[in-house]
Amino acid sequence: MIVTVDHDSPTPAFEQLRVGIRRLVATGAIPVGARLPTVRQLAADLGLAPGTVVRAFRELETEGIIDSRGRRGTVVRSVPALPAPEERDERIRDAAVVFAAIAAELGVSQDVAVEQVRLALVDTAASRWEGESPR
Amino acid sequence: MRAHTILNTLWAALPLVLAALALRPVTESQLRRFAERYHTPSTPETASLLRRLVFRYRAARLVGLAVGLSVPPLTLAVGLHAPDDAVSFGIAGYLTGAFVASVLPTLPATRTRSASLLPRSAADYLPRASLRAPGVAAALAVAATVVYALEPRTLDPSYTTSSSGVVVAIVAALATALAVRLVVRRAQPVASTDELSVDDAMRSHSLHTLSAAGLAIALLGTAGALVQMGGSSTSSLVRAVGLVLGLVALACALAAWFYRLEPWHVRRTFTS
Repeated sequence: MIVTVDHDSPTPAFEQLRVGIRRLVATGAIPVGARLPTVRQLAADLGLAPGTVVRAFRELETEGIIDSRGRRGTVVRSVPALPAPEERDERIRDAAVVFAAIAAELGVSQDVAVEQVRLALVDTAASRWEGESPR
Repeated sequence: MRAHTILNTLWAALPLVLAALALRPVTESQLRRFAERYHTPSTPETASLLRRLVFRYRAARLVGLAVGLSVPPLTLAVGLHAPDDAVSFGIAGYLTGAFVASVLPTLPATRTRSASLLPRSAADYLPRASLRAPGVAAALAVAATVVYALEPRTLDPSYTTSSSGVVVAIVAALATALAVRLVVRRAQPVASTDELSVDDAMRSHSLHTLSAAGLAIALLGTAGALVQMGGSSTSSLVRAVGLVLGLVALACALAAWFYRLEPWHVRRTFTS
């Protein structure tokens, strides 16, 4: 349930935040009905202006993923819709190609690279479980 | 004369002793006890962060205490006038040090910042009773002062007519509420769940100390107001209630301070 923003990235901070929250909701790390931190808390933690967080929240609200309830806070409303199978396969293939290129560039063996993928999948599943249960 | 000189020398050396104690390294057993008290993992990855934070918090409190104790003699030495109440200055210095260490970021700011999406609230770090108690103590002090003002009373000069008790209770309750709010709001730029756990533990430790101190001071004020109410009343019932509740408030003030060391499991969930 941790989101990261790179202040040196060419991608705007609100977009990084939007994508980060969207991903955590999609993977189940943040369950539907969960209350998100206040704009002020998230802005302070990430070193952002409150307006940047507000913009990310507004875009997620437009997508129907979260629901701002004024003083009662922001709540996750629904899991983002999954892409069509063809699009999904294409995206995962693209990601695998990029990963394979990085592994080759670093001189990592196939076994080590596959093991890293497996560990990442296990971590993702674990964070999904943490999101569903209190720590 | 000789005893007086020895006492003065010891008193002058006390801040130096405290400063030396503040600079002691944090031992493994201290780290383990802290980790157990707040249910935080002391792994090789988090040990250095935990050690740094425990050291900083302890050093800030002890240095604050040393500075506070030094205020009366130092002001006297430079020809200024300050109340000769080193203990109060010491407590104020100790709490100032604790507060400053509590609101400083636990991790250095970097260009890549991470944060938990779990909302924070004071109830995650402290029992709800600890959050309400200073307000209850202040309300009791106000009630005692109102009774004191309305009740017929003897004019026994041995009982104070000052309203300092209620003022102390109200100021302590308000200051505690403000301090708790500021510490909960402190930024939490963590990059892993282990760092999150360490930060939560440190925040809970800070809040336990500050709220216990605030409650103890508020209860001392309440005890003063109650004793004042009971002490000069012509009604035997008001007298008995005031004195008994005043003693209870004093006992609770002591208990509140020691209760800060009770273990606490920070429970942060998405529905908190």
